[in-house]
Amino acid sequence: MSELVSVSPVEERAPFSVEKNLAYYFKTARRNLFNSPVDSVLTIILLVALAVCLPKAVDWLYFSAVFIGENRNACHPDAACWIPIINFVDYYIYGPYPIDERWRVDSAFALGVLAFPMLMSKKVPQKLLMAYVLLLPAVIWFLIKGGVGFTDISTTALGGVTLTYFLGIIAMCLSLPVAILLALGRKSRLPIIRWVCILYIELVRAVPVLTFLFMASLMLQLFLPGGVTVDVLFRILFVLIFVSAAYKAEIIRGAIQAVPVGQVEASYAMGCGYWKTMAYVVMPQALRNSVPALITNFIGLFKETTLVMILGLLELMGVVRATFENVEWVGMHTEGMLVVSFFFFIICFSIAQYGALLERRIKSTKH
Amino acid sequence: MVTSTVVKMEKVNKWYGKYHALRDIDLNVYKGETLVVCGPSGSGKSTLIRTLNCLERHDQGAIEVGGITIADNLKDIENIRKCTGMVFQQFNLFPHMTVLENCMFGLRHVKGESIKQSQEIARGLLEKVQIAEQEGKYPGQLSGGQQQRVAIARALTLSPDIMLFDEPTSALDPEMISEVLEVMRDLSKAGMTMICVTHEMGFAKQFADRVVFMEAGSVIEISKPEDFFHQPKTQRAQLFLNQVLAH
Repeated sequence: MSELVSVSPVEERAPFSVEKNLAYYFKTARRNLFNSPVDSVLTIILLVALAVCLPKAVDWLYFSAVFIGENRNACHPDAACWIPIINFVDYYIYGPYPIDERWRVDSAFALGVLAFPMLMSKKVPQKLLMAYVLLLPAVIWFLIKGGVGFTDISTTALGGVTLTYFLGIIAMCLSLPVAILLALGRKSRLPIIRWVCILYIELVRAVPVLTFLFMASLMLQLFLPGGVTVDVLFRILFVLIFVSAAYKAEIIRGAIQAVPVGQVEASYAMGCGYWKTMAYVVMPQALRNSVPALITNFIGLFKETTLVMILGLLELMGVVRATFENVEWVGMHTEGMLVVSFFFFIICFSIAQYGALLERRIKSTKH
Repeated sequence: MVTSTVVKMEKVNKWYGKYHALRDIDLNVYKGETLVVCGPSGSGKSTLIRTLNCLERHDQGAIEVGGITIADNLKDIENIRKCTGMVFQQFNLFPHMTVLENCMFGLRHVKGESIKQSQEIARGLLEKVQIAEQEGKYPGQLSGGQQQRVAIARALTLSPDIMLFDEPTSALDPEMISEVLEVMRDLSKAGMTMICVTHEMGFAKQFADRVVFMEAGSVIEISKPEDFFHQPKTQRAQLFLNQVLAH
């Protein structure tokens, strides 16, 4: 039999590719940019606009800009002045945090960043991961704010990136579990739990965050018995966590509804109870499906931390604005806002890319 | 021959709103017996077996499964579910777990076995349904027939006293039906108590101890397969058989 089948070695074929010479690029450009008269006109208008604006912008940002100098006189009126930004960069990161204690902030940053590779890795056991994410807020609170062996840092000494990070990461970590409970509550068969959850979610979604922040900072004192004060940081975190949890709860509820009923029945049919069924069968599938929407929500939450500025807490945006209230540098907001935008863009874009990576990984295990 | 009763149903009724899904069902199932439930679609076959493990609650009458009477007690319901294995039309394997993890699920989370012990039991059952070599794959990577065999293995992991099959071959391509029926045949021969809702009349003829014919929520006829297929007692069963066996 074997003679009938001739086995000739398969010739290695060169991978198929288009030679990318000048003509190829020319053709691609023509196809994408000048495909129709309207396309051509738009392309030309945009090119002209770019040609006019881009050199000016680059010149303003970099070439004519002043980086080193003693004071305001060193600056050029028609170009960016980066002197205050460079001088204050430490202040932007740590705010008025005591210099001797800055290592605590640094380690908190490191712990937060460590969570990302851990979430991606397939080797880290899930229980450890959950414990990490749930403990992280507490650890970060103690590291940055103090307590349990660390000296307490007053709330007014928290500022800049430190405060932004502090609020952002604690709210992110804690709002997810709250949201999961709210979503389950909203689908509960017990009417009282269901009604409370629905009422809560609908109420919180319909009122601006800012209102809640004001209420937490101003009104709460009216209701508490005299002398009792709750740290303003605590109150703000509470608002951030519980407001964003309401939005996340709706995302998760949608994802739970998308899990086929048969999945729950299969688990119940084996004698598994409600909580275990939710924890091992429904939630893993629902959370996977809601990654894109949750990432968007996380980004929104991170940016919402800038709102605390209104309550007199100086997070990044606050400290940057504060430098330009300084007599020496007054009125140079443009550069400051550019720096703030750049910072938020880098962080939020990274979160988005990270989300895309997670999605790709989930897809690779789904068939 | 003395046989013990595993399932007892007395005057069981169920309504979906105004729709009367089960009407006065009286049925006993004996240990080691293979019972095939057949009848036209919408006749209440699936509802009947789903009331046995409380996936549907009956409204009237009494049901006793494995010596436990179905009531509102959550503990009892879980115990009944532990001693009944169920196989669904749509397999309902957990897509985010591998084949092995699917089979370990009940052992780990319901029985609280160790990982090692669970793996051992799960592997043994996967071998029984001849799919052991696929243990690392996800359900989505398997054919329908393979998935259904895994689902049977998963239902067997808690060593149930009774197995419920809810149209196990209806969602399968024709060439995969036999591999699933083969597994069911082996189970039946090994003395498992089985209640099968199925349209596979060949299986009913060969392996059923009794055939239950249902229509419009009532049990119309219970007979031995040789009687049922050759001289059904009722006209309606005859009509049904004519339609099913026409080809």
